[in-house]
Amino acid sequence: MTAMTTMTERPQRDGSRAPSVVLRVEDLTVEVRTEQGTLTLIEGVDLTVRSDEIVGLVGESGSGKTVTSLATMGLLPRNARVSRGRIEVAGQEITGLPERRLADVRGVRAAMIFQEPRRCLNPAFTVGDQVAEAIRRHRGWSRKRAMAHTVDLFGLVEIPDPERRVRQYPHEFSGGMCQRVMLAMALACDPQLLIADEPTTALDVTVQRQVLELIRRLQAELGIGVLLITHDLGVVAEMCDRVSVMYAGQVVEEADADSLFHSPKNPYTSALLQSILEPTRHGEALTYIPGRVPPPHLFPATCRFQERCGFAVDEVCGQVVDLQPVAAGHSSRCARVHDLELAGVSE
Amino acid sequence: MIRFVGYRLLLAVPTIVLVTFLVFALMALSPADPAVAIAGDDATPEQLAQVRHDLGLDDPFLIRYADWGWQALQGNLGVSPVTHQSVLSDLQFRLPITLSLLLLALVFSIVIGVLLGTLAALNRGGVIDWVANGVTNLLMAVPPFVAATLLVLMLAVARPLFPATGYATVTAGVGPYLTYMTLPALALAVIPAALLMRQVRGALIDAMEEDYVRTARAKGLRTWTVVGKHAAKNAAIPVVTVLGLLIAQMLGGAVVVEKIFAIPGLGSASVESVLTGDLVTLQGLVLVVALVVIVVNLLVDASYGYFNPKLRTR
Repeated sequence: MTAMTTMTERPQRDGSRAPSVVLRVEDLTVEVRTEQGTLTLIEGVDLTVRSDEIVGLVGESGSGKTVTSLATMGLLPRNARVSRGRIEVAGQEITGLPERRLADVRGVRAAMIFQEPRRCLNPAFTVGDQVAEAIRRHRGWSRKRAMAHTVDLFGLVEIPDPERRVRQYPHEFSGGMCQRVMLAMALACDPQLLIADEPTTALDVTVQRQVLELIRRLQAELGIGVLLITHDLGVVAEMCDRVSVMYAGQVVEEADADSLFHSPKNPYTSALLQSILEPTRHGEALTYIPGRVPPPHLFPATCRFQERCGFAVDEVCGQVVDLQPVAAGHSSRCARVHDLELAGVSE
Repeated sequence: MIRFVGYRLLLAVPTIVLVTFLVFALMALSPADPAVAIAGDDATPEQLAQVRHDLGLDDPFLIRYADWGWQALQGNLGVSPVTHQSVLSDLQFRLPITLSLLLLALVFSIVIGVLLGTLAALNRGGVIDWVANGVTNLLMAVPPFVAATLLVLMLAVARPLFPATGYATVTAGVGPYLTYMTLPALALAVIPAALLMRQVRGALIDAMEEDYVRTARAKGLRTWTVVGKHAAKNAAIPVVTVLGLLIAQMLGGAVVVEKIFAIPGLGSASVESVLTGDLVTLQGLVLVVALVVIVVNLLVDASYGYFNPKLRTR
């Protein structure tokens, strides 16, 4: 009921409008200054998210997923900077914007939710205040009007008893409920892009499912593009229309979800898919990728996955490889892309 | 909240009893004999015995303490054997003076400490941080009596901007108050300001690294709101804790500073009563100082509930 009334107040951005590109990242390269010198954390990342889709950004820890998302929001730590490439959020170029101008974009064009929702809410203020202040900041509404809208938003993200809940503090909320508050906050000013960085990793399995369902429903109803960052391929399979796989700071494969899962074109993706734990394969030996993602100062100049790759052939692989198209909407970064038959998920 | 304050006040009772008892015991053990102080060095043993008897000094120790406590409860802190004045009315005259001094010293330390601490935290590793750290390192090595002397030499003698001695309470009006109290308050505020700056800097740096600050930035809040609202309210708890300790410490510093600037507050009174062996006044002073410290601690504890809502539910 509350959700319905909220909907009528919102600009109509559902199926009736043609989908637009809400995030365009081109050749994004981020450097960080450290004691060991300047390191390149991510290099040449391309990403596109449209208003009618959920795009997955997948990779192990250290692959550069979070750096990519923080750069997109202009939230990189002080010692990191975008050294090359451009980021366009809902038609607005944000690379090179000063902090003041960036703050006008955040929360309005793009909003973000994070891992560990309980730590992301300020323990010293009521949850209602924390959502309402975003509205007051960007829309200049009165405290009362912003709070009334916050109650509506709580209804939208399915928080029961919203009138009472807005006056409570984060410690009175469960993890799942905190993530709903974060979602309400993110949606407060009708952003066109939602970045969700591991939104369910810290939550219980059952709660995880509820929050993911909610994100999917909101995406479809409100027509917002979602960039879903996760290391969980199960989540990707259920949620995403398209997927970009990152490894060691580069995108190594990009495809629609179906193609990626059934006919991966990059050995790394294939290996990731093989390491999904499936209850039906009970009793078989566990498959995993040996070794770990190299730290940024040890990124090789050539193929970064080569040393862990089961398909590496020295004569072919010891060179720089680019992301190259292999089919419509499907690209892979692998020197052997044309002569490999890689396994996808088992049916 | 009312229950909390009531409970804390109840807890304060044993504290006050203990503090006054200890001071009473210390003075009973001290070689200073108020009878000698009153009757003079050349009094005969009979005269001394008479004075002791008049003052009740020949009663057993516990009886004397119980008697003092009972009288104190009724608002009677006794009569000074030295000045022959009511200790209570003496304290009523002196307490506002010392509180006026402490208040201004507190304002100075908070303004300087919070300002420098915030600037340093926001420019961590930068020039401002470096300078602020250096300055506070230096200031922390300047005890109040050195600061007081230097301030008098610079701002009262070399350039007579302020009077070198004298006092005015808050009720005297802003002009006289600032004229007389600025120098002593500054002298008293030097070390607290430096310590506070450290604390503010550290607490703010910690808070700025929390995930909720990232959230605040992610929703597009202005830097001022992110720091002044989201980080500050969380950074306040360790700062207020230190502030409470610093107020108690400033009460101690007031002893020296009041003496230097000839301010007739609690500090001067404690020096004089020790020198003249005026144990009755001293005991009253200890009671008042203990009460001030207890009230400050109560305020500090009560503020935790404001800064951290999680503590309110208990």
